[in-house]
Amino acid sequence: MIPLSTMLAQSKPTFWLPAPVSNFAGPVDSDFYFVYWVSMFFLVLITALLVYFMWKFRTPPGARAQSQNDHHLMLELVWTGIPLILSLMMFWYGYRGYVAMQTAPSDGISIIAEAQKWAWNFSYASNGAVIPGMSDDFNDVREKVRSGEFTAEQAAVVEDKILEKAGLHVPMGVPIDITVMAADVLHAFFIPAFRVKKDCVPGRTGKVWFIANEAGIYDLYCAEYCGQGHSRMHTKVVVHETVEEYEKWLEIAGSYDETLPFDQNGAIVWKRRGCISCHSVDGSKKVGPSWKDLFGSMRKFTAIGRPGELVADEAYIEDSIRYPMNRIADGYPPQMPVVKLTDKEILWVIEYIKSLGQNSGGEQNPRKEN
Amino acid sequence: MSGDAQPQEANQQTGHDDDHAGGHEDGHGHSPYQAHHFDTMKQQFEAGKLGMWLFLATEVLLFGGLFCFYVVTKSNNPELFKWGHHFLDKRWGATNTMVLLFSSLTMALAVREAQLGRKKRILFFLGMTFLCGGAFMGIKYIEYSKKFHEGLFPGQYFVYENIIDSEEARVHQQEEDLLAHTDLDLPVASVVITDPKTRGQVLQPGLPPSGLSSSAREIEHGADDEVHTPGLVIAPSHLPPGPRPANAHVFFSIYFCLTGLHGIHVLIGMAVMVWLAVLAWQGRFGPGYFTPVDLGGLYWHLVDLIWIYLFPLLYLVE
Amino acid sequence: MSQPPMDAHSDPQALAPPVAAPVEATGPSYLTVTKTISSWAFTLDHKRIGVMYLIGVLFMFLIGGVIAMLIRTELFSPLALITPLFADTVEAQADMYNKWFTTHGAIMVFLVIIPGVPAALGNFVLPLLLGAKDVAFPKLNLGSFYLWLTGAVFFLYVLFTGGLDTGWTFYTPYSAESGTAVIPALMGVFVLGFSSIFTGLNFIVTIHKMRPPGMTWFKMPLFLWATYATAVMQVLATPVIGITVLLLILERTLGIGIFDPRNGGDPVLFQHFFWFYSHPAVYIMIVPPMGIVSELIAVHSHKRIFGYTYIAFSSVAIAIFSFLVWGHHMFTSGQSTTMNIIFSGITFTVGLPSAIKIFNWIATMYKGAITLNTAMLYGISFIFLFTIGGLTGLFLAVLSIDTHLHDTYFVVAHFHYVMMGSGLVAFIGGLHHWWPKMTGKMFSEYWGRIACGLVFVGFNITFIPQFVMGSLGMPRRYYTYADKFEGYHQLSTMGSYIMAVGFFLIAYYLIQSLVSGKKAPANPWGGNSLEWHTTSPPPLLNFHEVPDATDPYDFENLEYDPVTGNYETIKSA
Repeated sequence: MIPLSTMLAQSKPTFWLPAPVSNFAGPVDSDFYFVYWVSMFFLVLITALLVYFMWKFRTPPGARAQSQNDHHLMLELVWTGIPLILSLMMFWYGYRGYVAMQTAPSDGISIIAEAQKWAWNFSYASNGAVIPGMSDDFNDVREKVRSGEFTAEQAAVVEDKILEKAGLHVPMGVPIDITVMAADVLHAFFIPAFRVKKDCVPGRTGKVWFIANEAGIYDLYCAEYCGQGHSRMHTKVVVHETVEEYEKWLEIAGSYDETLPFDQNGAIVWKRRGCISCHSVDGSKKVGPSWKDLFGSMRKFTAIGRPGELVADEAYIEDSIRYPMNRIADGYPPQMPVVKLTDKEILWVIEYIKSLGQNSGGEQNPRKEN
Repeated sequence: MSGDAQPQEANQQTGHDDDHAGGHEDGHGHSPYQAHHFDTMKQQFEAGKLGMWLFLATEVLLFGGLFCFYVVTKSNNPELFKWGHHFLDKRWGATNTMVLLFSSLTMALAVREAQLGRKKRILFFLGMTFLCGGAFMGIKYIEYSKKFHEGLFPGQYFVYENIIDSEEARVHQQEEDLLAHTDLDLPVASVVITDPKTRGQVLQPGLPPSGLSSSAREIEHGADDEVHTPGLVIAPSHLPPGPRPANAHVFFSIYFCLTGLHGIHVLIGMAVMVWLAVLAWQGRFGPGYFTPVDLGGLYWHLVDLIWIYLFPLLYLVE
Repeated sequence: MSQPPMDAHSDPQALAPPVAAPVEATGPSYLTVTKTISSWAFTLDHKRIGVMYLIGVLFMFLIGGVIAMLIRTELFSPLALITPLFADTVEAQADMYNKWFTTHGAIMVFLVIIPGVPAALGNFVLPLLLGAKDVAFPKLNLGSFYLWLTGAVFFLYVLFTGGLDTGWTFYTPYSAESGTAVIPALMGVFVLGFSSIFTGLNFIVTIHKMRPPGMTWFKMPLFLWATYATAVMQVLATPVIGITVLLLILERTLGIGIFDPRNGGDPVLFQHFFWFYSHPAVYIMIVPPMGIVSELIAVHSHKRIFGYTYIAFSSVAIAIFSFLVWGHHMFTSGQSTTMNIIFSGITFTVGLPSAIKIFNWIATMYKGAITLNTAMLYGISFIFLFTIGGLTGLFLAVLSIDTHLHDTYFVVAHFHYVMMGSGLVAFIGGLHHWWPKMTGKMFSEYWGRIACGLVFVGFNITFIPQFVMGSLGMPRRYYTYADKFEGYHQLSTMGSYIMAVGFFLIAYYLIQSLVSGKKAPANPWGGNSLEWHTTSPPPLLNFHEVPDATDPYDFENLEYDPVTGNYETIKSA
């Protein structure tokens, strides 16, 4: 694989805007600069007039104004008409650019981008793979760079490794059709370099499309406040030079190494699928209960209004993953989203949790009658 | 005399002085009910009237938000209304409409009597209006308590406590499914009533569930039959299956929000009647001053008008 | 000498004010006529109510400003800088930051900028401008103040019991599930909404029914047009936020299923409800300051306001169109393409009236006799800063550009330019303009100009880097950020410290003026609207001798007396 970090975009960022690397960047940027130069013109004009008048017409108290003229119809028409025309132009450009963004071509590659607190997951229609955004890993790398533990080069190497199995990957030059979804609260899918943004609204799907024009690695942010980890939902978009390269990546990235022991794969799922955001494995309390010493312990919870108690066995854990709102653990908020794990992933997670400390003692949940 | 604040100094300013201490006499030609910052009673009355109309506009906008809730829900989920309105008794609704219309008449008559300064009649008509308001609230009490008592279809509606039974049934159902399958084939949101007679059937929107009253249910199924609760929603898997089941409860949310906010306004109106009655009893009202009754009347008419909209939208629309 | 009653307004049989006296008459002013706490707590005098509002608003501005400094200090680095002082774990530190930006926004919007000019300055000046004794409903006015105070108490309660972390916009579903003190905050908003509604109601009736003979609509000072247009927006828009917060409270407590998809609701419906009010709200925040600017520019240029009719109608046009553009806050929310196009188009129309005002103000300065008082400097600052604020709004109105800029720092910079750089700056300008009238004291022009400079320079340094960051892709409401944005954040934070120094300086010399400022004459700036035809400060009932309605923009009949610093009226009424 070509090291991704060596793929640099040819376009450069300007003072105001990131490098324009999608099909929309050109139109959006030219709309931007149109408004920008019109604005600059008026700002300079108004500032110049203000400064000049402040200087030219300043007087000590008591002086009289040179003129008391207070109306001029032609001036009013001019300074209403010109802004009106410019406004119409701006509206028109915006409308055109926007409508183009809403009409996706039919031959694109379909990817689902699902946002949850506080992670991204990308599902590729072609092979059903679900690839995580691994924001936390990228945040770790960034922190290590700032603290000096990593040099920039080391960081790039580590990021490449992460990107082998994470991030939003797309081929260059092909329309990409993204369906955005949210598992819990509002999020937004934002790639500044591509000039695309769409809110991820729970309960509905949104659409956004683009064609990436230059290979490289770009930032993907969450752009709708979603709570504690909002600023940490920062992952990467990788644009592959060719479709073949992209497909090769997809095949590898979507796979788990099934020769690995279940609990090791479980640890991978813990990170990949975002469980790490809320569940620690070392006993520290986060948004959700820690997995350390969880298995086999007696769990106290509220099942919507009524308190309950069950031993955390395999069935309990599976139910907690599939239907997280069924039982809310005492002392924790009802905020776990439904994370679509495959049956295998659930199995691996269960084994991983078992490996983090079991409570023996033979307590079992009462069997359900009937 | 520069700036002495002696109150006794007569002043001949521009005519709108305050009344002097010591009497209710109209020594300077204006009513004791005229506030000092107004020049004339007419100005004061018009100001009050304009102020009250503006306030009524704000009330309309306040309710407007709830009507918007209604419209949005109805256009997106008409089945909720088709189904939910069966639980509203048109007879009580129509009775309430008549009661409020009548009360608007008595209120208008109270205003008339206030203009004429006929104290006993003012009190009579204010009292009638108050009683009508009371009757309205009494009927609402009957309607509400019936709904709470029935729980409607227990567990499916917005009253939290009642969905426990449905939650248990749902958990039970889903645990059964868990044991039966590893791959859940989740249908799109649908309402399944688990009733011993209709277990597993999908409810058709528009058909009333059998047995409207809870007493009938109890006879049929027994008071503590755990399965005489309904309401599972199997949501699409990318939605967190919330603690609340089907959206049928939204109809009742709308119903209770609209009638509840309206009911609060009726109660406020009744308090206003009491206050007006006190003022009337003190003999304040007459041809020169009847503003509070007039403005109170405007408020009461708006409360009536809002109900005139509520009634068909909730009770009559299918 | 018998004591006058506690408050003449509270007793319809109150005693008459003193005999007609010249404008320099001594005698009790509204400040000194009674001095007990209860005479202030139960006052019906619009001037005292205005002063109480002023103190309250400035106090809440201090709180909101301190929180802003916490935010800017924290953002100096992408690493946790000061949040560890307040919270132990990494997660709690992020929560802390989220609470800071939420409470900063909520306090500034609901407790400072929305009430600010109408309640604190408008209450004081409105009846004076009309030659009236008070507003139409003095008791309602006091009620509005106590509602404001209750709202402030709710928010102080929120601050002290764990804060609020939903964003001031309370978007669902997060606001339906957040464990912070959401409901007290929503109750605060509800109560503050009614404070605003009653103030607006009062002002509409006052302007309609209490204009003096001769003051037709088109002879009113423009501040009254602005206040009127604002009051209409307050009355019509605010009930919608009232019902919205009620419904959100019900969603949280009962799960009614309107806004939370888990209960069958729609989060985007919340946004519609919220912005239906909050967009007119931003015009409620800017139109009264624009009214002040009309007064500042005209009076301190000693020249008739240019294009009176156009400025008056532009306020009305803004009020009307403000109700039609709320969807421009929701371009990326999944709102339909058609709606987006309509909202974008109408948004451009609402920008035009503001542009017209800017040009008319500049034309007013042309060939005027400009005295560069502190108040005037704030007025001129407004013109510059609002130009930037308004023009950057154009970027956001353009659909294609907004897709990129929405929810980035570009938006944060835009709204600070309009709300703070324009709204707050004009408020401060008005405060300086009417300070002599309200307090009877002159402040130090020297320190005033320096502070104005610090605020102006500091403000620009704070927020210009934010425009650049935003268009480069820095999202808003971010506690930590990518390294490439660090330089911009550092510059922004430094600017905020300069601004803070400016504000503390303002507080210093204004308080100093109360203690040792020169006594203010009736008309220190040479205005001709009616407030300048009474003493500084005015007597309880506003005028010793009620003047006839004047042409507020006729400056020809005023003669400056350098000894007293007063502009005397040379033609008798």
